[in-house]
Amino acid sequence: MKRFSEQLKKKSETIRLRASEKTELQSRIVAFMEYHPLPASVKATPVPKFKMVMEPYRLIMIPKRYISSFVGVTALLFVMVVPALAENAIPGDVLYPVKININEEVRGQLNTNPYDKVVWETTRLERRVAEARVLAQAGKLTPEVEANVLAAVEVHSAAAKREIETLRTTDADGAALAQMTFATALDVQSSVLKSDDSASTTAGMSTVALASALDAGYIAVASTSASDTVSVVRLIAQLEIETTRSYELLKSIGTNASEQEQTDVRRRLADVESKIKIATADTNTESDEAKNQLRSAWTDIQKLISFMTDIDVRATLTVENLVPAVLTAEEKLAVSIEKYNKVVTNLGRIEFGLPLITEANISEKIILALPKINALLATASTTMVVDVDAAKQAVDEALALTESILPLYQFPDSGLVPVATTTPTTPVSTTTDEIIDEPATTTASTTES
Amino acid sequence: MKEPDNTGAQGGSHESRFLEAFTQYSDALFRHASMRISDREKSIDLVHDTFTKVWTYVRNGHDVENYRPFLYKVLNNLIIDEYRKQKESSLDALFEKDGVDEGTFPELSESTVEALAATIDGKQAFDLIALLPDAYREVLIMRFVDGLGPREISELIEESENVVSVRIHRGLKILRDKIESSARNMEENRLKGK
Repeated sequence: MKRFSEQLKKKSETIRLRASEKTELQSRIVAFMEYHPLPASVKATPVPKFKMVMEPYRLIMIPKRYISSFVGVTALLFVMVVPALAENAIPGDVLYPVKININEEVRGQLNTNPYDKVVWETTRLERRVAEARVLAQAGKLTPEVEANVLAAVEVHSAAAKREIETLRTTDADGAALAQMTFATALDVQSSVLKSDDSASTTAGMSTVALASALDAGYIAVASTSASDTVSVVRLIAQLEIETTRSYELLKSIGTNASEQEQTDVRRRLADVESKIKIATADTNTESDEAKNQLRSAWTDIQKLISFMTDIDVRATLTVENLVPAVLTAEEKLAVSIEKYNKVVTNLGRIEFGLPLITEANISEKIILALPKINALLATASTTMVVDVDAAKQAVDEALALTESILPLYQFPDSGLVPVATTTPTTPVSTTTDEIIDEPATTTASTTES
Repeated sequence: MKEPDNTGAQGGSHESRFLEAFTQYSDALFRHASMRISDREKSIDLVHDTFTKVWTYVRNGHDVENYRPFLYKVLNNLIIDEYRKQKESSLDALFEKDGVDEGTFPELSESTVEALAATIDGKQAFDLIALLPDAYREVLIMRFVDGLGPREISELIEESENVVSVRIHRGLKILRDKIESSARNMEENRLKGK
């Protein structure tokens, strides 16, 4: 009808008064008005003011191009802008349902591979934890909100487990790897919450319940994971992929992570590679020891990936918290020597101050402990070169004993200069620096107290 | 599209408000009259008479809140008077014959009017609308040229909305028949010419 109406109207608009006709007509009407002027009584009445004419509807012509533009802009708004804005929403925000019910569901549907589905459910769980942290930091993690977060974590956890079971029917190795990855994620997130300053008991800021739930989930998944068998060949292949990915991630975080963090990550990646090397050097690659090395490497690399990809993890934990460095024999020796020297210094202070102690019970305790400390030092001294692990254990124990004695009394400084029991003959690296092939420059001697 | 009625907005004198109405509606009224009676000079006279009658109405102390419907109402009455002068008997016969008050559901439905209108070429309709009986021509012009709604038309011609809808529907049908008939005649003439 619109076309008919438009055509007819357009055509009819060609019918109009000519200018001369209109002028003449107006003149006639004006003349009529002059001959028939308004009576004074009517003139005196005020002209009625404009009255809004209420109509049941009003027809508004909108050009098609505007409608198309409007539809386009609206579609763009709903398809791109709203989901993009929703990505930063947290529980309680208007757009939060869009984030969890549309954005995440759509992304979930794009994963057709069961392994990717597990990874995605793990990511969703991490997102819930991150949201809980944001709320806790703002003091808005009320019991109701925390209950909702816990429920959401449960849902994602159950979904991940379900996907793992589905994967197990077709790819047992893949399921075992997914299980380990999931356990690692729970462990990392639990550590983040525990280390977070907001994990206090202040109302609205406590994430203790959530951390406990994640811990419980980790223990359950990790115990199942431990009994899972995964072929060494598959594990090595997957580790190759993840290691390559980790190096790429390390490059990508260049501008966001500090130099120290990058060095630490590089060091841990070297540790992972050496674990793989040890495992593959084993003649029996299917041995439990080789498998454990590889599983440990897998867990470490997953934690490092979390560190590099999750800004919350990076902000809360250090690499050392997450993946302690694996010390080389030389590093262990250097650390042991350092601790040994510290024990000697502590012991010197204790023996120097012992005669000054007036409280008998304290003196007795110290006198009883001294032979034990000296024995441990002797053990450390003799085993330092031949069995660095044994030496480290002895020196750790001795250090713990001296440090428990020092608070008992205000021990004066003995002025003794500690000297090491042994001279390292191999290069020494710190826990974070790369190993450099340089001759050792420090030389120390032993001073028996 | 309905033109906004600004004739009361300026709040000037009665005269200025009346002249503003003339500026705003004289062309539309002339168009309406011209399509109804197909006589240019007579149409100008009818528009003149419309305004003089309305002025007289104002002189008598009446207020005109909204000039547009009022002007159409007066013009419509004048056109009917004109018809009566010309063919009084045939007009009466037309109403009796058509029995326009008895509408059927399909004819009352706006969607069927739309569907019917969609089959008609507006340009051809313009050429042939003058051939329609005035009862139909009147409502079709009001609806499609003047852009009035069924309710407004019903108030102007003092008929129910149902009657207006039926007339629009039937008018469109007659118009389509005439267009088809015209096309057939042209085709026959073309063939005869060969």
